Amino acid sequence: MLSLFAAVPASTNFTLKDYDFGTGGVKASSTSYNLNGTTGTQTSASQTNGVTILNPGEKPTQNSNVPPAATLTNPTSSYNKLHLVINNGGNPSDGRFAVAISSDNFSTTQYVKTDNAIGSGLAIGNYQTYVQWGSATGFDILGLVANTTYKVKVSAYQGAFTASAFGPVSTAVATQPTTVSFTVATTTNSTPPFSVNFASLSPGTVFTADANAQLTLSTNAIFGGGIYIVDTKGGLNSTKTSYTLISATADLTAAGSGYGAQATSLSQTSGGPLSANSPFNGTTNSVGQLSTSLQQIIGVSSAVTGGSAQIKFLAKTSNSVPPAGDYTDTQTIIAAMTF
Amino acid sequence: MHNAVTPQKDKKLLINLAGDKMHAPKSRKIASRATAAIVALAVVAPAVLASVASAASLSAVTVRFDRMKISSPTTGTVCAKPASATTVAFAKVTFPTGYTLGAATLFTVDTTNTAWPTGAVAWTGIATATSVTGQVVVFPSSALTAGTLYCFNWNNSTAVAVASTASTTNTGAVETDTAASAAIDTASFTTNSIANDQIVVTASVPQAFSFALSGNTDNIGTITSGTVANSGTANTVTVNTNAAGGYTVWARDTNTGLFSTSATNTIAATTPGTNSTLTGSVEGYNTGVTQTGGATVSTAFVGGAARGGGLNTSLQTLAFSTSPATSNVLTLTNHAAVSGATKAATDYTDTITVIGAATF
Repeated sequence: MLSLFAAVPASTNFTLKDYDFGTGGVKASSTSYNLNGTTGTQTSASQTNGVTILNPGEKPTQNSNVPPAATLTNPTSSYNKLHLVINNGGNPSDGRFAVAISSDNFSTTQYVKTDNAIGSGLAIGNYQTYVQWGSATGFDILGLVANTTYKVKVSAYQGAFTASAFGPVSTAVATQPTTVSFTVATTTNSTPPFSVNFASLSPGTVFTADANAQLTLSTNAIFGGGIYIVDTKGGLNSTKTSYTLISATADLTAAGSGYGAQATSLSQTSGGPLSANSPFNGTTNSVGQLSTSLQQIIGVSSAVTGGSAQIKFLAKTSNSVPPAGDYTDTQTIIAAMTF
Repeated sequence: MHNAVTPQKDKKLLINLAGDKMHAPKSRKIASRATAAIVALAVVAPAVLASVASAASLSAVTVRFDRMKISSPTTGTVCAKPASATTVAFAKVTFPTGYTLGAATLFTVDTTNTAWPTGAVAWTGIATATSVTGQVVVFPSSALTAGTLYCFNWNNSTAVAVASTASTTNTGAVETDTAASAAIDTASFTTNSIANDQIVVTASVPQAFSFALSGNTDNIGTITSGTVANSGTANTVTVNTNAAGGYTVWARDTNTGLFSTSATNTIAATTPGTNSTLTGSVEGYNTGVTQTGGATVSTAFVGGAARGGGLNTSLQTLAFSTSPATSNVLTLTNHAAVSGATKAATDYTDTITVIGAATF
């Protein structure tokens, strides 16, 4: 194939004073490409066909129009995606577009793949039609890094050898930082140290502690997360009597004795919702076991704003529980989100 | 035919081509150069479709600190879902600014599922950290599968301490790296440091002792010689106590027998402190005790048919327990028998006082 173009130029109409191929580029060959076209001049958004010499049998082709700057926004204040509406720049409906994206002003460049996530390298499969990129509605570029400013630019192509240059860079738009706000308090005290008390656990009666743990949670984690609880002793322990009222999952109405917790009063302003996980989702006197192993007591499967929940502690003693005034236990309550 | 594209690296070449050679009327020499250059470009295009090294985003990331209280040493969990198929050799965790990190050797790990996110699996090949540089801790890792959520725990609380001030903007990152320490996937996370993440639960269990008599009268009815008469309705004593030492129930009576004012006669109690069984024609009077719930009945007052012990004006131990009692029920049955010589009267009476006390 190359040998056809390597032949000495000849013309009966022009005097060829000199010619060369300059540095030429690399020598290569291909069995995949059929070189059957020429290109025109592309100096602006739309190609202007300049002086082009066509060899016999050659047909002129035209590059796709360079797409104008796409519109990049973050309408949902996301930390991992941005919304992009490309401008087809007057390209035909079968024109295809590739989207380059960069967080460092294109010192390094990634490309939006057909699953709308970004990745390295540009392949022919990364080009999609204007319709496939969501037309005027656009699409979300996924898998972006939080709290990072991105720019994009778009290239178009149609047919063979007609890819345009990448167009102008879009306005820089930043993803939001990942956020979580979690607080622990009690319903009677917002200042630590926090404690709740069973004033008098007389045998045979189910008692509720004099206050509940009061929790708040807001996060933009799209996969949500959880509030976890872990018990230092596995129950209410009396040093004086060396006895522990073991925590267990039970309906304390029927059980002779026990101790545990319920997740209650779950609410949120938006998103979520928060949900109580079994076995802490009981009602009345049904409680979940407080374990020395971390347990997720409350879950949320998406971002949530203004989340609020309480943890209620209930206990019941039997005559087998020795009297003492020093029963104590410590609950550690934490939260972790999946971004 | 349609797979010749102009990737980013080609851009300059193409622009130069257009700008330099096709602007205004140029020489045929230039046009020829352009054609040749295009040929070269088209031919080499596949070769320049090389990947541009740049990290993608992890599909999901969680870093859970098992303590959130400021300045607390903490263990924790790192979870990440790779998005890229590139072979992972390291997991790099950037802890939030202000979190104090120990030496790499302190970052020992395990893959015990400690309430990990649903679907998470053990992080393949994770091992003790090899370096700590600033806030960045590098853990060795084996290759991971894209789309799978992996977790591991750092299990030594001396490795990490929560920041010393409360903040909602403690941001870090998790990154997977190649063997050459090039970033593959990365994602940031945020956690909080809070004033206190603990709630102390306190309780007091009071001493408890309950003692209840089911009734205060017991009509034995007519006592006929030759037959032992029993309580019409035997009274019960129900005891509940959480006293570690249990309890004791005592009784005494006022008459040491059944006394008739009108006949000025006493059907005497059997020998106090001695268990006996009455017979139908021998005058006598005793109190028998049976129990449910675990009490121990004193030998002298073990009950049964016509069986029991005599009471007098001194307290006698009817029953006891050496441990906490729940619903211990003592049934007190009085028995009486008369002989042919016993004076007839309808006002034979006795008053039995029953008390109990717990041993705390």
